[in-house]
Amino acid sequence: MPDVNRQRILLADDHAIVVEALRSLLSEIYDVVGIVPDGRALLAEAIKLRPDIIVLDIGMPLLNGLDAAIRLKELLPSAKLVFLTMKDDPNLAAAALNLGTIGYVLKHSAASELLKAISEVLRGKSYVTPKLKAENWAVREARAQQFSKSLSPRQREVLQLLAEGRPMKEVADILKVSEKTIMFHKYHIMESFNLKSNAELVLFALKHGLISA
Amino acid sequence: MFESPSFGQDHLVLEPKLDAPGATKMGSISNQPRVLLADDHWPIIERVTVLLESSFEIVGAVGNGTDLVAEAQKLQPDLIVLDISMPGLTGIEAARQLREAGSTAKVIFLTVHERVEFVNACLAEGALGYVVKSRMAVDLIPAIREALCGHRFISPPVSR
Repeated sequence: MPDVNRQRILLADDHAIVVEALRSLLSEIYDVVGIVPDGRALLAEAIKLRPDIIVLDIGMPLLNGLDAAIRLKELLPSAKLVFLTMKDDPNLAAAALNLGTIGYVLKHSAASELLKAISEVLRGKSYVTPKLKAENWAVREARAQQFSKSLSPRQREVLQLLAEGRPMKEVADILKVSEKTIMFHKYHIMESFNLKSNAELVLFALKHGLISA
Repeated sequence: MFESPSFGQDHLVLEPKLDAPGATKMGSISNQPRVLLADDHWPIIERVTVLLESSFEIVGAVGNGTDLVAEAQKLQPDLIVLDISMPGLTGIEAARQLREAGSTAKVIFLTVHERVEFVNACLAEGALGYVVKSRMAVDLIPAIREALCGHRFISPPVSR
Protein backbone atom coordinates (compact mmCIF):
# COMPACT_ATOMS: atom_id res chain seq x y z
CA MET A 1 0.00 0.00 0.00
CA PRO A 2 1.74 3.19 -1.09
CA ASP A 3 2.07 5.78 1.62
CA VAL A 4 0.94 9.19 0.41
CA ASN A 5 3.47 10.94 2.62
CA ARG A 6 6.47 9.11 1.25
CA GLN A 7 8.58 10.69 -1.49
CA ARG A 8 8.23 8.89 -4.82
CA ILE A 9 11.36 7.60 -6.52
CA LEU A 10 12.03 6.49 -10.08
CA LEU A 11 15.16 4.36 -10.64
CA ALA A 12 17.11 4.32 -13.91
CA ASP A 13 19.87 1.77 -14.34
CA ASP A 14 20.51 -0.90 -16.95
CA HIS A 15 21.92 -3.44 -14.48
CA ALA A 16 19.11 -5.58 -13.10
CA ILE A 17 20.99 -6.66 -9.98
CA VAL A 18 22.00 -3.13 -9.09
CA VAL A 19 18.51 -1.86 -9.55
CA GLU A 20 16.97 -4.63 -7.45
CA ALA A 21 19.42 -3.95 -4.63
CA LEU A 22 18.59 -0.26 -4.90
CA ARG A 23 14.90 -0.94 -4.81
CA SER A 24 15.10 -2.91 -1.59
CA LEU A 25 17.40 -0.33 0.00
CA LEU A 26 15.23 2.64 -0.92
CA SER A 27 11.84 1.00 -0.35
CA GLU A 28 12.37 1.23 3.38
CA ILE A 29 12.19 5.01 3.24
CA TYR A 30 10.74 5.94 -0.13
CA ASP A 31 8.07 4.79 -2.49
CA VAL A 32 9.81 3.26 -5.53
CA VAL A 33 7.32 3.94 -8.31
CA GLY A 34 9.24 2.64 -11.29
CA ILE A 35 12.39 1.18 -12.77
CA VAL A 36 13.72 1.90 -16.25
CA PRO A 37 16.70 0.38 -18.10
CA ASP A 38 17.78 3.24 -20.39
CA GLY A 39 17.76 7.00 -20.82
CA ARG A 40 14.94 7.15 -23.33
CA ALA A 41 12.63 5.00 -21.21
CA LEU A 42 13.54 7.29 -18.32
CA LEU A 43 12.24 10.37 -20.14
CA ALA A 44 8.99 8.63 -21.07
CA GLU A 45 8.35 7.22 -17.59
CA ALA A 46 9.36 10.40 -15.78
CA ILE A 47 6.69 12.38 -17.63
CA LYS A 48 4.08 9.70 -16.88
CA LEU A 49 4.96 8.99 -13.23
CA ARG A 50 6.11 12.45 -12.16
CA PRO A 51 8.41 11.20 -9.37
CA ASP A 52 9.82 13.50 -6.67
CA ILE A 53 13.26 11.93 -6.98
CA ILE A 54 15.08 10.21 -9.81
CA VAL A 55 18.11 8.07 -9.01
CA LEU A 56 19.90 7.54 -12.28
CA ASP A 57 23.01 5.96 -13.70
CA ILE A 58 25.10 7.84 -16.27
CA GLY A 59 26.24 4.95 -18.45
CA MET A 60 22.92 3.78 -19.90
CA PRO A 61 21.96 2.56 -23.37
CA LEU A 62 20.19 4.77 -25.94
CA LEU A 63 20.67 7.98 -23.98
CA ASN A 64 23.20 8.50 -21.22
CA GLY A 65 22.11 9.78 -17.82
CA LEU A 66 23.61 13.25 -18.13
CA ASP A 67 21.95 14.03 -21.42
CA ALA A 68 18.72 12.55 -20.07
CA ALA A 69 19.08 14.85 -17.06
CA ILE A 70 19.47 17.91 -19.30
CA ARG A 71 16.13 16.98 -20.90
CA LEU A 72 14.52 16.22 -17.54
CA LYS A 73 15.36 19.72 -16.33
CA GLU A 74 12.97 20.98 -19.02
CA LEU A 75 10.42 18.17 -18.97
CA LEU A 76 10.09 17.75 -15.22
CA PRO A 77 11.97 20.52 -13.41
CA SER A 78 10.45 19.59 -10.04
CA ALA A 79 12.16 16.19 -9.93
CA LYS A 80 15.33 16.02 -7.85
CA LEU A 81 18.14 14.13 -9.54
CA VAL A 82 20.70 11.90 -7.87
CA PHE A 83 23.35 10.36 -10.11
CA LEU A 84 24.60 6.96 -9.00
CA THR A 85 27.41 5.99 -11.31
CA MET A 86 30.69 4.16 -11.89
CA LYS A 87 32.07 7.30 -13.53
CA ASP A 88 34.54 8.98 -11.19
CA ASP A 89 35.18 11.69 -13.79
CA PRO A 90 35.34 15.15 -12.19
CA ASN A 91 34.25 16.77 -15.48
CA LEU A 92 31.01 14.78 -15.43
CA ALA A 93 30.36 15.61 -11.78
CA ALA A 94 30.88 19.32 -12.52
CA ALA A 95 28.60 19.17 -15.56
CA ALA A 96 25.93 17.48 -13.43
CA LEU A 97 26.32 20.16 -10.77
CA ASN A 98 25.75 22.85 -13.39
CA LEU A 99 22.25 21.45 -13.93
CA GLY A 100 21.16 22.74 -10.53
CA THR A 101 20.58 20.94 -7.26
CA ILE A 102 21.79 17.40 -7.79
CA GLY A 103 23.43 14.49 -6.01
CA TYR A 104 26.45 12.70 -7.45
CA VAL A 105 27.46 9.46 -5.76
CA LEU A 106 29.74 6.68 -6.96
CA LYS A 107 28.60 3.08 -7.07
CA HIS A 108 31.64 2.13 -4.99
CA SER A 109 30.33 4.29 -2.17
CA ALA A 110 28.49 3.02 0.88
CA ALA A 111 24.71 2.87 0.72
CA SER A 112 24.62 5.47 3.48
CA GLU A 113 26.20 8.00 1.12
CA LEU A 114 23.41 7.53 -1.40
CA LEU A 115 20.80 8.00 1.32
CA LYS A 116 22.60 11.11 2.46
CA ALA A 117 22.71 12.51 -1.09
CA ILE A 118 18.98 11.90 -1.53
CA SER A 119 18.09 13.63 1.72
CA GLU A 120 20.39 16.56 0.87
CA VAL A 121 18.80 17.19 -2.53
CA LEU A 122 15.35 16.92 -0.94
CA ARG A 123 16.48 19.75 1.35
CA GLY A 124 17.50 21.73 -1.72
CA LYS A 125 21.23 21.19 -1.36
CA SER A 126 23.58 19.54 -3.85
CA TYR A 127 25.72 16.65 -2.73
CA VAL A 128 28.84 15.61 -4.66
CA THR A 129 31.02 12.79 -3.41
CA PRO A 130 34.10 14.41 -1.78
CA LYS A 131 36.62 12.85 -4.18
CA LEU A 132 35.09 14.67 -7.16
CA LYS A 133 34.56 18.08 -5.60
CA ALA A 134 36.40 20.96 -7.23
CA GLU A 135 38.39 23.17 -4.87
CA ASN A 136 37.22 26.43 -6.41
CA TRP A 137 34.82 28.03 -8.83
CA ALA A 138 37.23 28.26 -11.76
CA VAL A 139 38.17 24.59 -11.71
CA ARG A 140 34.56 23.49 -11.35
CA GLU A 141 33.37 25.74 -14.15
CA ALA A 142 36.27 24.68 -16.39
CA ARG A 143 35.35 21.05 -15.78
CA ALA A 144 31.70 21.66 -16.50
CA GLN A 145 32.52 23.49 -19.73
CA GLN A 146 34.55 20.52 -20.87
CA PHE A 147 31.41 18.42 -21.03
CA SER A 148 29.47 20.94 -23.09
CA LYS A 149 32.13 22.59 -25.22
CA SER A 150 33.30 19.85 -27.52
CA LEU A 151 30.04 18.25 -28.57
CA SER A 152 26.53 19.62 -28.81
CA PRO A 153 23.72 17.66 -27.12
CA ARG A 154 22.59 16.46 -30.55
CA GLN A 155 26.11 15.34 -31.48
CA ARG A 156 26.34 13.42 -28.21
CA GLU A 157 23.03 11.68 -28.88
CA VAL A 158 24.12 10.64 -32.36
CA LEU A 159 27.59 9.61 -31.23
CA GLN A 160 26.26 7.44 -28.41
CA LEU A 161 23.84 5.59 -30.66
CA LEU A 162 26.49 5.03 -33.36
CA ALA A 163 29.07 3.93 -30.79
CA GLU A 164 26.55 1.41 -29.47
CA GLY A 165 26.92 -0.24 -32.85
CA ARG A 166 23.57 0.75 -34.27
CA PRO A 167 23.28 1.14 -38.05
CA MET A 168 22.66 4.68 -39.34
CA LYS A 169 19.12 3.74 -40.32
CA GLU A 170 18.27 2.72 -36.75
CA VAL A 171 19.90 5.84 -35.30
CA ALA A 172 17.91 7.96 -37.73
CA ASP A 173 14.67 6.20 -36.69
CA ILE A 174 15.36 6.64 -32.96
CA LEU A 175 16.09 10.34 -33.37
CA LYS A 176 13.35 10.80 -35.99
CA VAL A 177 15.63 12.41 -38.56
CA SER A 178 16.96 11.32 -41.95
CA GLU A 179 19.94 9.05 -42.44
CA LYS A 180 21.63 11.92 -44.25
CA THR A 181 21.46 14.03 -41.11
CA ILE A 182 23.06 11.25 -39.09
CA MET A 183 25.80 10.93 -41.70
CA PHE A 184 26.40 14.67 -41.53
CA HIS A 185 26.76 14.58 -37.75
CA LYS A 186 29.04 11.57 -37.90
CA TYR A 187 31.46 13.09 -40.39
CA HIS A 188 31.43 16.43 -38.66
CA ILE A 189 32.42 14.78 -35.37
CA MET A 190 35.11 12.67 -37.05
CA GLU A 191 36.61 15.68 -38.78
CA SER A 192 36.54 17.90 -35.71
CA PHE A 193 38.34 15.37 -33.57
CA ASN A 194 40.52 13.85 -36.26
CA LEU A 195 38.95 10.41 -35.92
CA LYS A 196 39.93 8.16 -38.79
CA SER A 197 37.81 5.06 -38.33
CA ASN A 198 34.72 3.70 -36.64
CA ALA A 199 36.96 2.12 -34.02
CA GLU A 200 38.35 5.54 -33.13
CA LEU A 201 34.84 6.94 -33.03
CA VAL A 202 33.83 4.28 -30.51
CA LEU A 203 36.92 4.95 -28.40
CA PHE A 204 36.16 8.67 -28.50
CA ALA A 205 32.59 8.02 -27.32
CA LEU A 206 33.99 5.87 -24.53
CA LYS A 207 36.31 8.63 -23.39
CA HIS A 208 33.47 11.12 -23.41
CA GLY A 209 31.49 8.87 -21.11
CA LEU A 210 28.83 8.24 -23.76
CA ILE A 211 29.24 4.49 -23.69
CA SER A 212 30.72 2.18 -21.08
CA ALA A 213 33.55 -0.28 -21.47
CA MET B 1 54.24 19.96 -39.92
CA PHE B 2 54.26 16.68 -38.13
CA GLU B 3 52.61 13.32 -38.39
CA SER B 4 48.91 13.66 -38.04
CA PRO B 5 47.99 12.45 -34.58
CA SER B 6 44.79 10.76 -33.72
CA PHE B 7 42.75 12.15 -30.88
CA GLY B 8 41.01 8.83 -30.66
CA GLN B 9 44.18 7.19 -29.42
CA ASP B 10 45.91 7.33 -26.10
CA HIS B 11 49.21 8.62 -27.34
CA LEU B 12 48.73 12.14 -28.54
CA VAL B 13 52.26 13.44 -28.87
CA LEU B 14 53.30 14.72 -32.24
CA GLU B 15 56.76 13.92 -33.45
CA PRO B 16 58.11 16.80 -35.52
CA LYS B 17 59.35 15.78 -38.95
CA LEU B 18 62.85 16.92 -39.76
CA ASP B 19 61.82 17.99 -43.23
CA ALA B 20 59.14 20.27 -41.83
CA PRO B 21 59.17 23.84 -43.19
CA GLY B 22 60.25 25.21 -39.82
CA ALA B 23 63.25 22.92 -39.79
CA THR B 24 64.70 24.21 -43.04
CA LYS B 25 64.74 27.82 -41.96
CA MET B 26 67.99 29.72 -41.39
CA GLY B 27 69.20 29.47 -37.86
CA SER B 28 68.13 25.84 -37.51
CA ILE B 29 65.23 24.50 -35.53
CA SER B 30 67.21 24.12 -32.34
CA ASN B 31 67.50 27.88 -31.84
CA GLN B 32 63.77 28.40 -31.91
CA PRO B 33 61.87 28.46 -28.62
CA ARG B 34 60.34 25.05 -27.96
CA VAL B 35 56.57 25.07 -27.56
CA LEU B 36 54.20 22.37 -26.32
CA LEU B 37 50.49 22.64 -27.18
CA ALA B 38 47.53 21.28 -25.23
CA ASP B 39 43.97 21.40 -26.53
CA ASP B 40 41.46 18.62 -27.01
CA HIS B 41 39.97 20.23 -30.10
CA TRP B 42 42.01 19.22 -33.11
CA PRO B 43 41.27 22.24 -35.38
CA ILE B 44 42.69 24.53 -32.70
CA ILE B 45 45.94 22.56 -32.55
CA GLU B 46 46.14 22.81 -36.32
CA ARG B 47 45.50 26.55 -36.38
CA VAL B 48 47.99 27.25 -33.62
CA THR B 49 50.58 25.11 -35.37
CA VAL B 50 50.15 26.97 -38.65
CA LEU B 51 50.42 30.26 -36.80
CA LEU B 52 53.53 29.37 -34.82
CA GLU B 53 55.55 26.94 -36.86
CA SER B 54 57.68 29.47 -38.74
CA SER B 55 58.94 31.11 -35.54
CA PHE B 56 58.81 28.35 -32.97
CA GLU B 57 59.56 24.69 -32.69
CA ILE B 58 56.37 22.81 -31.86
CA VAL B 59 57.71 19.91 -29.84
CA GLY B 60 54.39 18.24 -29.20
CA ALA B 61 50.65 18.50 -28.87
CA VAL B 62 48.44 16.74 -26.35
CA GLY B 63 44.69 16.49 -26.00
CA ASN B 64 44.21 16.41 -22.23
CA GLY B 65 45.60 17.76 -18.98
CA THR B 66 46.99 14.48 -17.72
CA ASP B 67 49.08 13.92 -20.86
CA LEU B 68 50.19 17.54 -20.71
CA VAL B 69 51.78 17.08 -17.30
CA ALA B 70 53.58 13.92 -18.43
CA GLU B 71 54.78 15.31 -21.76
CA ALA B 72 55.87 18.66 -20.34
CA GLN B 73 58.08 16.84 -17.86
CA LYS B 74 59.52 14.65 -20.61
CA LEU B 75 59.97 17.31 -23.32
CA GLN B 76 60.94 20.25 -21.09
CA PRO B 77 59.51 22.92 -23.46
CA ASP B 78 60.33 26.60 -23.06
CA LEU B 79 56.66 27.44 -23.23
CA ILE B 80 53.27 25.78 -23.02
CA VAL B 81 50.13 26.99 -24.79
CA LEU B 82 47.15 25.30 -23.16
CA ASP B 83 43.39 25.30 -23.02
CA ILE B 84 41.46 25.65 -19.76
CA SER B 85 38.74 23.02 -20.22
CA MET B 86 40.22 19.66 -21.15
CA PRO B 87 39.46 16.03 -20.42
CA GLY B 88 41.18 14.54 -17.40
CA LEU B 89 42.78 17.48 -15.65
CA THR B 90 41.72 21.01 -16.46
CA GLY B 91 44.48 23.31 -17.73
CA ILE B 92 44.36 25.15 -14.40
CA GLU B 93 45.09 21.96 -12.47
CA ALA B 94 47.75 20.85 -14.96
CA ALA B 95 49.53 24.21 -14.65
CA ARG B 96 49.49 23.86 -10.88
CA GLN B 97 50.89 20.33 -10.97
CA LEU B 98 53.68 21.43 -13.31
CA ARG B 99 54.55 24.40 -11.14
CA GLU B 100 54.62 22.21 -8.05
CA ALA B 101 56.85 19.73 -9.89
CA GLY B 102 59.33 22.55 -10.55
CA SER B 103 58.58 23.14 -14.24
CA THR B 104 60.17 26.33 -15.58
CA ALA B 105 58.14 26.39 -18.79
CA LYS B 106 56.31 29.67 -19.38
CA VAL B 107 52.56 29.18 -19.47
CA ILE B 108 50.04 30.81 -21.79
CA PHE B 109 46.35 29.96 -21.65
CA LEU B 110 44.46 29.99 -24.95
CA THR B 111 40.76 29.78 -24.22
CA VAL B 112 37.25 30.85 -25.12
CA HIS B 113 36.55 31.95 -21.56
CA GLU B 114 36.45 35.70 -21.03
CA ARG B 115 35.37 35.81 -17.40
CA VAL B 116 37.76 37.59 -15.10
CA GLU B 117 37.48 34.75 -12.55
CA PHE B 118 39.14 32.45 -15.06
CA VAL B 119 41.90 34.97 -15.78
CA ASN B 120 42.61 35.32 -12.07
CA ALA B 121 42.61 31.57 -11.53
CA CYS B 122 45.12 31.11 -14.38
CA LEU B 123 47.39 33.93 -13.22
CA ALA B 124 47.27 32.43 -9.73
CA GLU B 125 48.84 29.27 -11.16
CA GLY B 126 51.71 31.31 -12.54
CA ALA B 127 50.52 31.84 -16.12
CA LEU B 128 52.10 34.79 -17.92
CA GLY B 129 49.71 34.91 -20.85
CA TYR B 130 45.95 34.76 -21.25
CA VAL B 131 44.76 34.84 -24.85
CA VAL B 132 41.14 34.49 -25.91
CA LYS B 133 40.62 32.29 -28.95
CA SER B 134 38.79 35.00 -30.90
CA ARG B 135 42.00 37.07 -30.81
CA MET B 136 44.41 34.22 -31.36
CA ALA B 137 45.70 35.46 -34.72
CA VAL B 138 46.55 38.89 -33.28
CA ASP B 139 47.50 38.13 -29.69
CA LEU B 140 49.14 34.72 -29.48
CA ILE B 141 52.57 35.54 -30.90
CA PRO B 142 52.90 38.80 -28.92
CA ALA B 143 51.83 36.90 -25.80
CA ILE B 144 54.50 34.27 -26.43
CA ARG B 145 57.21 36.91 -27.05
CA GLU B 146 56.27 38.67 -23.82
CA ALA B 147 56.15 35.45 -21.83
CA LEU B 148 59.58 34.37 -23.06
CA CYS B 149 60.89 37.66 -21.61
CA GLY B 150 59.01 37.02 -18.38
CA HIS B 151 56.28 39.57 -19.04
CA ARG B 152 52.54 39.25 -18.77
CA PHE B 153 50.15 39.52 -21.70
CA ILE B 154 46.37 39.42 -21.39
CA SER B 155 44.03 39.76 -24.38
CA PRO B 156 42.29 43.18 -24.47
CA PRO B 157 38.68 41.95 -24.03
CA VAL B 158 39.51 40.51 -20.62
CA SER B 159 42.34 42.78 -19.44
CA ARG B 160 40.10 45.82 -19.04
